[in-house]
Amino acid sequence: MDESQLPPLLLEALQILRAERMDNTRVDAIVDNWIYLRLPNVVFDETKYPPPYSRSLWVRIPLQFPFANPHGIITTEPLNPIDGHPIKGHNPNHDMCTPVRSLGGSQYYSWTWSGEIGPGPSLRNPRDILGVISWVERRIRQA
Amino acid sequence: MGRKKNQTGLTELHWVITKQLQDETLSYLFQQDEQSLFLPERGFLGIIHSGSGVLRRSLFLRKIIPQQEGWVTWTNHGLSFDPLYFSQALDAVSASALGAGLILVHSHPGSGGSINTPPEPSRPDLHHERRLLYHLNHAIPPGSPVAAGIVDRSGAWRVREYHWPRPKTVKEARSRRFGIDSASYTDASAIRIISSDATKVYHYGKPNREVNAKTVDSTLRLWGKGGHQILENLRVGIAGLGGVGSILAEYLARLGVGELVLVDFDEVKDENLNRLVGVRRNEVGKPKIKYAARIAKEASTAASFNVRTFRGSVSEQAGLKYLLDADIIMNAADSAFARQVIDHASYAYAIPVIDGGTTLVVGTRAGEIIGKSQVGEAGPGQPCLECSGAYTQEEATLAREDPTMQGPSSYLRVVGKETKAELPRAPSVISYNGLVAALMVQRLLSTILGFPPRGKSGQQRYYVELGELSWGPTSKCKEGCPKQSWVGLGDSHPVPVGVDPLWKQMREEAEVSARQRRKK
Repeated sequence: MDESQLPPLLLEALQILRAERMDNTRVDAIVDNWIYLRLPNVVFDETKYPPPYSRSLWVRIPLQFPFANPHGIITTEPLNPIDGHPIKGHNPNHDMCTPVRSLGGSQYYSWTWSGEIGPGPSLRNPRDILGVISWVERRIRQA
Repeated sequence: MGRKKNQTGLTELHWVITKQLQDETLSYLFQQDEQSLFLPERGFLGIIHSGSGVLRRSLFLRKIIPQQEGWVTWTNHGLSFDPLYFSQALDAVSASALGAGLILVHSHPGSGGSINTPPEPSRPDLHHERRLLYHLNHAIPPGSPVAAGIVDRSGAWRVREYHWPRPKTVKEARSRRFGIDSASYTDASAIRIISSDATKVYHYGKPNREVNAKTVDSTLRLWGKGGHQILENLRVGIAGLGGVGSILAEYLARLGVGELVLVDFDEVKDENLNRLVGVRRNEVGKPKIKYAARIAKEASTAASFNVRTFRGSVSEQAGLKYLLDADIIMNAADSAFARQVIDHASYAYAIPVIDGGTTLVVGTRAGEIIGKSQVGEAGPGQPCLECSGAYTQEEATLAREDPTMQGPSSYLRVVGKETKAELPRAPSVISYNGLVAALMVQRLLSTILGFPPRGKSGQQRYYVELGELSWGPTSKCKEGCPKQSWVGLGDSHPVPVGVDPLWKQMREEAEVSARQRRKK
């Protein structure tokens, strides 16, 4: 995926993310206002999920980051907590998966930045991309 | 060297400055107790940015670069700038946002009749500024603006943007065709001075049109011929030509505004007939901008009236560009995405925005309706629309999603419903639209003419269930809000435009039906 056409603030955010947190993140799709960013090793809480405790998934980041918030994640397998409770916002084989379906993306979780676990941190500059991974991990832990 | 229309392909150049920087400029260049006609000239260098609409390019003064004593001196040969000051200026450009350029400003202390008449440059003025700016132009990144300005005591500016062809080869660089004298320049045709409570636009070289006293008799008594000439020269952008926007178009045209820029993507539908004032049944299916333009033309009382239309979304780059030609923007687009885009643009391009809309909430119990109409302003010195509660970043985010994925629309929230597809049409009542439009026009008159004199600013809200009009609580931006720091960044600020999903859906549906028609 050619990233050179991405807006400068988003490009800067991706550079920061790769330099300081996850060096092999990848943009797998760009659709309208969104990129599908593959995070290769998101940490899953051992007390709540079965192994593996590091999994890859996609988070939808707006092209207008940081002036718009991430919205939704896509996984290859459903998130099945150990206690078996159903996870809200789960949409198997949803249209939102289409851009990464060929890469295995099939489970859409329509989580908003200001969702049930309270508002995410306010996003103001490209460095705030670092908070997105923490948000994804926290959201999964508390799902 | 030649004076050209505009090297950027645009037909107008505006010089834009905040009232605060205008005051700073005057105190820098003129001492209060100086009276003689033979006073020394003074000067400074400033950081500028540029921003472009469809017709108009604007140059914004962002900062006066501080100077030490002796760096700018008045000599027998004219005003002299020390190389150390240039060095400081180049450092300031490097430290500024990408796209920053420089303006070389000096005073004409002997002139200063009226702010409506710009000072004239002398031949030595043109000669010196061309030489100095040529070297600065080559020391800053390509594409950055370079300009010269002259200011007189009245606060009038003469601003010229310079352009030099950029050599591509060493041979070209040595050629006279790329030397100092290859410069061309564009004169600014207007100056806009923006403060938190007023926008003053001074047009240069534009003849004052005759006011049609018969048709504007009632308002002539209130703000006089001068006020009407200001309205005649005013260009107002209207975003969204629905229930509120179409009324705005008619009100402004009737008041005598000289030019309107209308941007909307929607079409007139049967469901709009109960609130689009003056719409005809045969206009169903036609773009709203066409209907609104017709109404405005028929209503206009200006001696010369022009309306420009663009079918598109203000959330997209193409639609926003049209609004960037406006002296003031009236936002009647009821989308958090559009509000966010216009909010950003109002600071970056120093264009005051007046925003209005109504939220009606239909509850689950019969007859339960709550909601409010709200009117507010944004732009330099004003709290932004986001801090005033007109939208949240999360609402602006969700408005970027495909319509079938969005939650309830911003102007209608039905308790218990999940998706827009399940929702009935949003309630909209012509009387609330009229109220919002009237309050918005009052704000415009206050900002442009000072009528009525501004007492309070901020959000005005009409609570439907209470029947009360009151002021909202926000008088300044929240702590940490960066928008005031964006004033005058122009195209250097990344306004969060994108793809408007509603407009995209409409375009796709139109393509499908066109294909089907072709097949038949």
